Amino acid sequence: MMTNPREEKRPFSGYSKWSEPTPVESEAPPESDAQLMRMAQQGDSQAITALYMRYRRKVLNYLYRLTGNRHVAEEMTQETFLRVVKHLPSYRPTGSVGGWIFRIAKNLALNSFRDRKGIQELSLEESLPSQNSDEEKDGPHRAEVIADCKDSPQEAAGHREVEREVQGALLKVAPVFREVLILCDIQGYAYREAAEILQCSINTVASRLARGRAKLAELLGYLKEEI
Amino acid sequence: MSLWGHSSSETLSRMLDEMLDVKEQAATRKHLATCLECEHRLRAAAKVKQALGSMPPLEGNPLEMLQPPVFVPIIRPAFPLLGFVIGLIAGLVLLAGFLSLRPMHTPMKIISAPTALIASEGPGKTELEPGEAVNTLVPGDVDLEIPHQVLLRLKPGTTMSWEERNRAWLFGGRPNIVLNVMRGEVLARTQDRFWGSHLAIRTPTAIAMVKGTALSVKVEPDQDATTLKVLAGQVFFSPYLDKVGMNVRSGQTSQIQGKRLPSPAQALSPAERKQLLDTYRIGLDPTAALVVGGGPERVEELLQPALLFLSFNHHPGLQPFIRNLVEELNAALLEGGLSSQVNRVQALEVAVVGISDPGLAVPLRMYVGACEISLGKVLRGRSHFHWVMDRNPQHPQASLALAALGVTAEKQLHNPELAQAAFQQLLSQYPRSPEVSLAREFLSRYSRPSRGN
Repeated sequence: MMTNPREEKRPFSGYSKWSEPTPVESEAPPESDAQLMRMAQQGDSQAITALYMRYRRKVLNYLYRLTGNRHVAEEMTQETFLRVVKHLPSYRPTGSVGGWIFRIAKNLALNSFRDRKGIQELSLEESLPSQNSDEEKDGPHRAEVIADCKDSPQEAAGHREVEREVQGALLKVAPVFREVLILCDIQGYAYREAAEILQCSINTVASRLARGRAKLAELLGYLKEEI
Repeated sequence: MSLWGHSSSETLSRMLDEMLDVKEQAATRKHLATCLECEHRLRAAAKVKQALGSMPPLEGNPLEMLQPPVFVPIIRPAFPLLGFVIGLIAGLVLLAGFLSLRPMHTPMKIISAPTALIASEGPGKTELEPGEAVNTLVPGDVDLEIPHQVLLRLKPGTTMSWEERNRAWLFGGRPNIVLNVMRGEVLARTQDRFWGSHLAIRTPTAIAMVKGTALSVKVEPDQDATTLKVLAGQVFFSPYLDKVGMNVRSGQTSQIQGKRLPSPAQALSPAERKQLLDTYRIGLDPTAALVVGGGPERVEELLQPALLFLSFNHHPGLQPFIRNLVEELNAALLEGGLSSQVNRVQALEVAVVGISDPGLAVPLRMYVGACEISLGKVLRGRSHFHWVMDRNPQHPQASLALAALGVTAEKQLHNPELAQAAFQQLLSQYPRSPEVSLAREFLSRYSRPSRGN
């Protein structure tokens, strides 16, 4: 039985929740994000590493779902944190640190869409391989996920097929709706938190989310099912 | 509700996320109970949400967990500060450029011309423009001043002109002064704002480049010779239009004859040193430290009896202490380091207060008093002179102490009555002392207005 990722997700409400460590990140220092940023601005390289360990997985998943390409997402994750380091001196603590990092990641991805048209189509084939070749293409990480899920091979293959379809449809949705779907429905952020990351109003998030869901339902054929 | 009576996608989506208020939620539920289409759209949205929510998270490289990358933060000054500094530097450069464009010359003031002064426009002048020549006739000296830069005394029989060259762009446009001395003798002393300026004294045979000092240049056209005497500081002395020369230092003299190189520097004789002390009396503006118009040389002269006393009376602890302190203080006086002067004068003052033997105490008090006055502490300096006068009126330096009281009353306290009383006491009490001429000069100067009245 596959574990529901929503159960792992922590409710994201309020500034302090940004710094709450996930089980994987339990070795991170207990400082808050703001403290880590201050330390990093004073030249503490360990503080940057702690921030990286805290946000790496979230940013990676966000970028992976946004681009549909694991390798591109990993590259962008690295680039995101390099930009975090580069722009450390000019950082002003006006919002949450996580929101700032996500905005950098989002801008990177959107720039990439502008510069490299067609990345979605290329990445779809690469990142969501067919059943026959998934082991060699996805490598050990994907295998780990499957092992963790403790599903039977048939169930795992079924889930993989659903995931491939959903991801394919997601990449066909316009990026403004896609990013809201990723933040709210995949990563489980509340409207307010998504609004902070995307720097828009809560109503805009709600509207984009509704339109994104409707478009995705249409693409996945959920609306064609018999009433 | 939409135009056709159905719930909007946003309402259904908000309901799915439990983001509707109670009233909206009740109305939507009521509608959904009767509208199959809206219920179908809600189920489709819920299915999308569930499908997205079940997407497995992507795990990162497990090796990164064990060995995370090391980021090295870039520490650099914030841009506003950098911009401010750049702007400030640019502003200063522009200001320096603006200052360099201001009018170039400052007229040379004629401070006193007691006898004959023949300038290009005749006597009665108060200023000399650059390029104008001046001749002095016997008897009497002519004192001139470029404000805050140089004081000059032209001895009788001197012919001189001056010019001011383009000011340097840097240093806020400091003057570049050239004196052309054709014959006679000129005493010169640089003043408080001379730093960064250039003073060149040219003669038919030589050129002297002056750096903050007191000196005299004597030109003897008959012998085709120029003699330089330096009291303090140093002067680069070279044959005219020749870059080969030598530095003549404090207490030295040298001569250039014809186009030869300067003669080896020799020590000034006591008579020459005494004559050069006049440089500190140009324009009746002696440095306060010099009591009655002497320079640092005179201050040392004040101390000589104390050093002699120490050498004869064998004070093994006190002698090296005072000698070292005085040497350091003399160096500080010549170099102009105010804080070092203050520290050493205070140390010496503490030592002096405990000494009662007149042979040592009187010269030391005179010396310390002169130093105090040079540092602007007039009343403290005068208290030492008073001590000498009150406790040791028979001491050879008592007349000097009285003269110092008169001079400081006039120059520092601006109290002519007090000065007059001191000089009258000097004339009556010490009629054969060396300071009598000074007292007479003062009294005659102040008695003229009363005669006129």
